[in-house]
Amino acid sequence: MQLRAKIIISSGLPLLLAGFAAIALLLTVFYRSQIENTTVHLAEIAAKVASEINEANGEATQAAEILAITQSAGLFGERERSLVLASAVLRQFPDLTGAYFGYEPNADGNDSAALSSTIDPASMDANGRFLPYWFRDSTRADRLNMAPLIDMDTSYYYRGIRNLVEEKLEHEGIRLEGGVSAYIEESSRGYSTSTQHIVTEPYLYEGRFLVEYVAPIIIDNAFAGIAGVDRTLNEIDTFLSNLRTYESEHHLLLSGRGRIISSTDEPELRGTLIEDSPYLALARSIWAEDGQRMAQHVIAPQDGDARLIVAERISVGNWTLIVSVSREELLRDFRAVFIQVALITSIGSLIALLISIRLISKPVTRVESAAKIASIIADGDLTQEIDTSSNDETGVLLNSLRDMSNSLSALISEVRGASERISNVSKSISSASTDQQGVNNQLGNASSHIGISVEQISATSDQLMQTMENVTSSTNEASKIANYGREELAQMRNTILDFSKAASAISSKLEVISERANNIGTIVTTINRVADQTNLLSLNAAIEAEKAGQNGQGFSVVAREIRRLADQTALATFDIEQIVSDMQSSVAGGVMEMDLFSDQVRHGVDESLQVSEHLQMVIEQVEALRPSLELATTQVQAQSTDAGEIGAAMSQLEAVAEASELSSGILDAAVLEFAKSVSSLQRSVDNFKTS
Amino acid sequence: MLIVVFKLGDQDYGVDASNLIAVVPGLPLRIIPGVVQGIAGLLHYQRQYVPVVDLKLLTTGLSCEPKLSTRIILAKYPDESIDAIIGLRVEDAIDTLWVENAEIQKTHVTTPSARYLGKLIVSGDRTVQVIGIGALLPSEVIDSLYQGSAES
Repeated sequence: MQLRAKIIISSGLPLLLAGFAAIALLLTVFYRSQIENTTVHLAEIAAKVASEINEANGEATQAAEILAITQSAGLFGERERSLVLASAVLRQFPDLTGAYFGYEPNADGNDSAALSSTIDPASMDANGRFLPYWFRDSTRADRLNMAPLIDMDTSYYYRGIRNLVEEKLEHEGIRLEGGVSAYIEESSRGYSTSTQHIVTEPYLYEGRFLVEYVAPIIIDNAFAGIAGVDRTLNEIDTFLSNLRTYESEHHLLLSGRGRIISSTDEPELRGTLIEDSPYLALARSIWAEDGQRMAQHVIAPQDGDARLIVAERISVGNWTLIVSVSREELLRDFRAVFIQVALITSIGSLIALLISIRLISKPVTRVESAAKIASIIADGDLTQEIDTSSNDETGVLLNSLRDMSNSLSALISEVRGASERISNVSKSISSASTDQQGVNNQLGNASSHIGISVEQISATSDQLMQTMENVTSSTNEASKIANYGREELAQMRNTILDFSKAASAISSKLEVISERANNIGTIVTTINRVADQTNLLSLNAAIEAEKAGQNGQGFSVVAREIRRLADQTALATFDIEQIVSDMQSSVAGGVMEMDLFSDQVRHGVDESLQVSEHLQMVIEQVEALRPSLELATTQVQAQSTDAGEIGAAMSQLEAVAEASELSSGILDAAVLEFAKSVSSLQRSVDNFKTS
Repeated sequence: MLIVVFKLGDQDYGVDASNLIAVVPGLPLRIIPGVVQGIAGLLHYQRQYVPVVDLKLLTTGLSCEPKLSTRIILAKYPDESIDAIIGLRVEDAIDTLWVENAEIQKTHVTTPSARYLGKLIVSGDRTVQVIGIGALLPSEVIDSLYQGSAES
């Protein structure tokens, strides 16, 4: 199997690797071109859309500029003709929703005269200032209405352009709902500085999303007013949505001051400042590129999807257009191709692998089997059948192996027959001799063992006898001592018992004393209470006597005497109380000591009883031992005598056995030598296996 | 003049026996929560409640020891307008003293905060200070203690 694997790997793997590398390269190139194509396509879309918006902005700006130029060119102050011109321009450009002039207060010197003239009063304010605003009727597009302009001092369309002409910042004094974006300075060129025209921030007015395009009227190098037009951006969402060629295409249109004009599919974002929408980061990254056309991959803020974006700057109004497409959608085609290629490559590789395995399998199998047979013969096994059916090089190899195996087999068979016969003869001789020797050996060993044992028994018996005598005498001594100890203990126990009785008697007497002392205490308390009552009685008697005046004098003396007696009683009882209390504590101490003593005595009695019992047991056991000891001594003496006689008989038998053993040993050695040579021959032959 | 003698701390004091009703044991009293300091409680005596002043508490700030010799002296309240009994709880009320009026001395020391301290009596080796029951308590306290019984 190893050989086969090597062949397959060395022939198939490089081919496979080369194939995979080629496919990977192909796919990479395809992926790059896909992205590049899309980028170009997206850029084209963005450029086209931007140019259309730019054109519309440019058209409106031009209209405003034309209106302004006519004023500078001689129409300034000609109010009636200016009104006609403005309405004509509005009719000429259907995309526009309004056209207007606005003069500075009394710029033409006709403000007060105009108030009393026949000119339409809707073209001026209360002071006669010329501020006509023509606008389309919201219901009928062909009808025009007029009203004076408003908010001149706070709006981009008037104050903004005047600021620029007077070389101030455009937003000075401007009030705009929501303000301008805080990030406006990051945008392509910050605040606008053009003094030719201004495009205002889009704003919502009566349902219309309007943007103003305004140009200044310059008379004698001074700002005299404005001319402007406006148009609605209501349709811009639809316009951008209709331009889409990709499913996930998204358009984001930003005004020059950072306001969202349109975000496709998100009409609710219209008019929001960029920082209030999820697109701030995106817009900043594009503004950082100076608003130039650019393409890059970013993570979309609205859904976290990876997107390809392209940005385009719209020069009129400084608007920015951002077009993006989901990378997912772009790669959809690429993914399908990738899966197809991967599938075809895998199947092709598999088929190639199978074919190569099949081709090399046969020759490899034959070589492997030849190797196996050779190794079996080397081990000495000649029974192996060898198949030589194939006719290539491996067949020749197998043929030679078979011939060699056959001739070896024949030779081995002959040798084996001869050696087996010799071996049988030598075996029978050897076994006979071995038997004889074994018998002799056993006999000699047995008799010598017995002799030794008998000697040992004899010696042990003598020792035993000595020991028995010692034991007997020790036993007698022990018995005597134990008896003596028992008598002594009996005496001691009697004495201790007497002690115990005496202690109990004392203890009980002390308890009686203690009880009596308690009784005395109770009596004393009673006497005390009586003395107290007597004292109280005598006090009250004295008080009563005092009230009785002269009649109570005698009684008063009696009361005093009673009180004195009561006091003396109280004093005496106090002494008694003290004595009794002392006595009680002494008695209690005595009782406690006696109890302790009694306990110790009782404990001594118990212990002496136990010792006595143990001694009794020792004596009994020693007495029981004595008769068996005497019997044992007699038997040991008899055994010692018998052992001596057996010893003598055994010595004779041993001598005979030794002689016989010597002669059989010589025969045995000769047979052993012969058997050894035969078995050596047999071992050599056995290395070969034959059928 | 007969004086019932007692002790407050280690000093001898006494009251004139002519106003006294009786001396009774220092029985447990009904406590009056929130009453002015010095009033130990009410004593149930012959079907009426008698306010008891702890004289030791009044003079030294410590209550009388609970001993057999601690007793309550019941006296008619000396003010004629109030028909009432007052109790004085004192220690060692076990003795009387008979003195002639001549033996009585007036103290030269006056104590505005303890107007109840009356004359000094010297008899043998004893010096007894007589307590004036009528000056023991401020009149508003007396009013608050006896108002109920006066109305009923």
